[in-house]
Amino acid sequence: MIINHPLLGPRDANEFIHLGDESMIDRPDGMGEHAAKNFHEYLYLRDNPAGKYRELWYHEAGDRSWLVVTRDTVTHEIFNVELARDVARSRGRSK
Amino acid sequence: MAKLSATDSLGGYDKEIGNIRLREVANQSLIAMAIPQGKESKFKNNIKNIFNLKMPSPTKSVKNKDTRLLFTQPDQIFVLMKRVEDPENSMAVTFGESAYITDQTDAWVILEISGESSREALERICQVDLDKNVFQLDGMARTNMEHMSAIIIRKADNTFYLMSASSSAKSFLHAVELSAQHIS
Repeated sequence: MIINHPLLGPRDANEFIHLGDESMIDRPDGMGEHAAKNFHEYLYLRDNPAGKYRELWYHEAGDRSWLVVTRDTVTHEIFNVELARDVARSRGRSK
Repeated sequence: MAKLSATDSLGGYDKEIGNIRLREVANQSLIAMAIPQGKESKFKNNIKNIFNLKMPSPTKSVKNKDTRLLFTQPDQIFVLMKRVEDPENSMAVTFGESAYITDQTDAWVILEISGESSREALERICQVDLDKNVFQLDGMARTNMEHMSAIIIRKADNTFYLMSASSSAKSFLHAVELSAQHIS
């Protein structure tokens, strides 16, 4: 499987490890209202779609960037690869 | 107290294998520079003023006579330069608050592989496309070889720098040497 890294171009998937659902980017506020419920959902509840899925991948044997990879869990086709940093910033995060 | 001096990771290894020459590159300093948030343009100006170089792109290093800059990850570069004493301190003075600086010299080993068949030896252990038209002169990539993290730089037509952790320098050399032997 080849992952088209947004900065480095096509790279072999064995240079990467994958963490799982991209919702890990949106860590809830531990001091906020309903923090316990939100953290329970954040840690344990995942969709398990047969089809398009957004995942966090880490380019461990490369530039150490975190990526959001959109792929099809049935065909393994990869539709889009973004830097997780850009995704987080587009949601208003500073880092 | 006895005055101690460091030796090179591979003791100055230098060997010809068929038409390939494989040698350890010493007398280099390697400095990691990370850019603090908000200091990007100041850092870029400092690189221009101090090295007279522009920032390296993710897949291509930039160089002048004694210095080569490598993109290692977003907001971090490596400076590979002629060996100087205590580069961390002198760079810290020059760059001030525009960079976080770490001397990485002793943490890395550098091998140079050259010769007609160097590409064939490498393509058995390096999964990056090294085709002359794809991996062009001064091209660089961070990847792994034989499960060891490595940086590869194309220095000249058939000459490459391979950088890996000095703690596994002998294993790294073994992997490259064996691959060279297999095609000779």
